[in-house]
Amino acid sequence: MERKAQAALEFLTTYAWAFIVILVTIGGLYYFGIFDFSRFVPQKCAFSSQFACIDFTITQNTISAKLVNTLGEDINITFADVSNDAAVPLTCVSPIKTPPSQPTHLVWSSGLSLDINFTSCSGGGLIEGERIDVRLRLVYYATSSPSKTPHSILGKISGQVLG
Amino acid sequence: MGGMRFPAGQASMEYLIVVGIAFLVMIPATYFFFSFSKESGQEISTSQLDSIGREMVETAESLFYGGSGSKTTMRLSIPEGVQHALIVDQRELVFNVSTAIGHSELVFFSRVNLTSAQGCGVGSCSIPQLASAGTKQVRLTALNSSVLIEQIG
Repeated sequence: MERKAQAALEFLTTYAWAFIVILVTIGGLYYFGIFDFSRFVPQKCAFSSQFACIDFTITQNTISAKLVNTLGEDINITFADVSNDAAVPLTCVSPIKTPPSQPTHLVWSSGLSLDINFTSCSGGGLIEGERIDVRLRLVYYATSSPSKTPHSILGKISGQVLG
Repeated sequence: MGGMRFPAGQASMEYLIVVGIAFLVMIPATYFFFSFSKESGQEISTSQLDSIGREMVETAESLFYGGSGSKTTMRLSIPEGVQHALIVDQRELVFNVSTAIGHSELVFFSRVNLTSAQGCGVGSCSIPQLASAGTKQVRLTALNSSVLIEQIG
């Protein structure tokens, strides 16, 4: 019994340094973001097939998406916004400005592509080289709709922030 | 004693290294698996609903131009997340969907007027039967000026 305990203790004292080295190494790798596997997930821009997303760019102060209107209807966009779940909220200047007195609507014909550019962005984890997720919301109504009932569509952009 | 201790220690070390490498492979693999499966599931649901909406509108248009009294039955597999289904202005079939990133709407525009058997108010008709997941049987009937959508099972 004593021999076994002695052997176990000797084993621990001999190899404790190895455990410490391993833990410190793992801690260092974690600190430098080696275990941030999200960067290896492909970049993507996911919308419903009614608004096909064909390109996107995220920089430190702009977010752009190129969408195609495949609804089969001409629409008016009344609101566009980006957001994400970062600790510091993402804020950008929207291309659709909607002052209450004079709302500006963006007409988007069926079958055409449209570049939606958000400028002067801040917060939201927009750090060069980092990977972020952004929600893009559009509110629109069909030009031919009698009641002009607004519809909201939400898409997601996952990509790396460029310089 | 000393001769026995070294091989035992070496074996333990080798064991730890093998287990460590296995974990290094398993952790990212698990992350990728859950990440992809979550997003893929969402995309499949959206595509499924997109297919259902397009099919319903195309069928309604086809029936309407076939003449009053034309009818057909569709078997639809509604995915998870649909909160409301309604017809707006008699020509917009709308599905309100709750996704992992928030609420969204899928809208399908019809060239013919659509209506439902119940739940019609000013400018819109609700189709509550299509607002829950599962297999639904829907009958589309061409009327004089519209196509009636009603659930039969």
